[in-house]
Amino acid sequence: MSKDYNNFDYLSVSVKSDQLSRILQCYRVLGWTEVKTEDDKRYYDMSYVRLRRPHKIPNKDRLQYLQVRMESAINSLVEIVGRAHVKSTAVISVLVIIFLVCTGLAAWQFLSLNQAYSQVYGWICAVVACASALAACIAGACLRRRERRAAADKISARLKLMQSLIAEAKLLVPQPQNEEEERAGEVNNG
Amino acid sequence: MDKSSRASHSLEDRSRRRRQRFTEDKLVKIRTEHSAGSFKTIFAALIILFQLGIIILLGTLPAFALWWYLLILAAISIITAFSVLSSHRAAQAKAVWVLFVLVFFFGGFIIYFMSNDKYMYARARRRHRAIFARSEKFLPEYAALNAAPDMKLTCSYLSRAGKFAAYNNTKLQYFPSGAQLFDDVIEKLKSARSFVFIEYYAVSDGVLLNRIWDILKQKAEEGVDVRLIYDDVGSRAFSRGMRKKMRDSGVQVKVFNRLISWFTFAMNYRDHRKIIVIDGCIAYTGGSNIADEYVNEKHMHGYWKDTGIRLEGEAVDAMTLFFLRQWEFITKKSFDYSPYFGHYQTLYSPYVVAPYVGGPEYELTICKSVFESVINSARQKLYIMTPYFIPDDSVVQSLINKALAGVDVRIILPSVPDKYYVYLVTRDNAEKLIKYGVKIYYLRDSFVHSKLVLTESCAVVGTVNFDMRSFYQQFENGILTDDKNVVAAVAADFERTFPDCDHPASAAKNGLARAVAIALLRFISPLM
Repeated sequence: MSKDYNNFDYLSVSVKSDQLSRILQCYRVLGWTEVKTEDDKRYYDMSYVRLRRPHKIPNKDRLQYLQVRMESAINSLVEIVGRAHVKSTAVISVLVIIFLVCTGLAAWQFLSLNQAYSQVYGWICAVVACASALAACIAGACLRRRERRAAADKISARLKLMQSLIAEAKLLVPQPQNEEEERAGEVNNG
Repeated sequence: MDKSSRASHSLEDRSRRRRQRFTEDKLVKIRTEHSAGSFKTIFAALIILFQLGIIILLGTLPAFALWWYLLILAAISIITAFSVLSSHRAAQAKAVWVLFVLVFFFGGFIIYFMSNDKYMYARARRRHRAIFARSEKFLPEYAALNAAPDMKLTCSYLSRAGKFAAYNNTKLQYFPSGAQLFDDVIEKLKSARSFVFIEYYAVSDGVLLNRIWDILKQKAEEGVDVRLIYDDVGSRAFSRGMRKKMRDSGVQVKVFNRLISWFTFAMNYRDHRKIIVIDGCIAYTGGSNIADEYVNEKHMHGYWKDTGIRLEGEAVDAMTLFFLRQWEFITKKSFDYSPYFGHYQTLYSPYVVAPYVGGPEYELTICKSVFESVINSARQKLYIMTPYFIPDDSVVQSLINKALAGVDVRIILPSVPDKYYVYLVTRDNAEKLIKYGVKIYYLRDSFVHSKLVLTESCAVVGTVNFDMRSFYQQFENGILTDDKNVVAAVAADFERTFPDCDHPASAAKNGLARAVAIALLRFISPLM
């Protein structure tokens, strides 16, 4: 398909297939029109979308800025979810390692039985193992709850930001009233 | 199911199996987020480092056999250190060089002398001077009529330091983005009749270059004299194919300071200027280069904030002269400049426009001095937009003094870095000024590439960053003006940008690793 770079701007994006319609909605608000959608050649869970927009669209600089911020906000949603439990996972991992090591040491001390102090060390290790297991459960639960809350707050802040960006974009781009009008616009552009 | 359809299905299955799961933390991946052409630079850098190693090794080898050779090296290093201290460099640069020469006494002085433009750029500077002397007659007498006293002082400095004239009767148009600048350039290029001169740091293949090329090709075919100067480091992504296409169509394409795999510090001097002259009637400059990221066709570092300015009238001649001087320097052929002057449209404007250039061809740091002069002239407000903030102490001190004196000093910086190590120092330098009352702004999700300085009475638009490279090592250009319309347009651009910025109330606290990295980077910042 030949491109008319003098009259149109083009944008190629790969979008997570399950979020395609929502994300395309955001791009439409920014004045982009879908030209072609197909499966991404590299990733099976992504869709490849080509979009275009009139080169001389009003408020282009602002729209470009809003677009970058929108893309950043959309991508940060995944980032927030993906990194929500990093801290708690690290803490739990350390405690689990302590638990395993102490359990192993306790078992070794109890089984050796040749020294009187082995029993003492064994009990110390067992207590530490139990404490670390308990701490892993409690810290895990508390930290995870706190992290969930923090992630939820961040996500709602991002969603609010996206809403405000969309609202601003809607004011800058004259939106087609209905689908027929949109189609008519596309035919005219084409 | 027949054989052929089964075969095609299995092919599809295989291709599907070959595709991976998308594992990045992203819902949207922009297909143009990539940089091109860095291989050439990395390769040249590695070869140069290898040669540097050999030089140091050869210098050091005899020391293993001859103890007195070490003594001689140490003596030379001490003499070199004294020579550094008595030179006219910035104090910070002196400190770094003295330490470098004394610590690496077995070869450091060789690198110092090889990097010293006084010795290594002397021949080139003589050629520049010869060109200047021949072409001086094309610059009118310094005028600056109607200028305010502070403006008059800066213009007077420019006149004496580089024989740059201050013009009246010039109309300016400010563009708050690269996209707007190049849309205008493309429109005006369509009406070119006799010559088009383009001098750019970065020219890269892409949509923007194709748009410009469509017109340039047509103009070259019509017999318009089209000349292009590009810098070899900045234009890494300017393909050989495209250059050949241009040359075949009659465009004269010249490279500035070709990147060669040969150890020479002259490689450090890059042509960072951005000049377009059309028929001697219209000229453009600003921060934007001819590459897709500058017009936000590509988003390599978030939104790209850039600026530009158009000149019409008397001052266009100065831009033509800057280009022709650089052209003569590169081609090493002298020619008659006179056909390219005096084509400007006669306009009336009472405001002063002073185009200037700076770089290794001048002994004085003209671009830095203009900034200092403008900073010192600020009475109520001083707004700065720059991608990098690594100035030397004198500039920092001027900013602090202004802020303490009650001037509203604001600096807009990027929030997305293009070079992480430079950004670390930039942020640290900027945030250290907060306690003195300087307001620092980071434009969200953006890379700020504009180079602007604004006071209540004048503005500087150009290519000069607030860093040592721009002040001391690169060929730069700028426009100083007191045009009320431009000052208002630049101020409006700043006012529009502030609400989109994060504005830290205090300096960010750095972790140990970060603090050490910043300290090291700050130490070598005069050499960056």
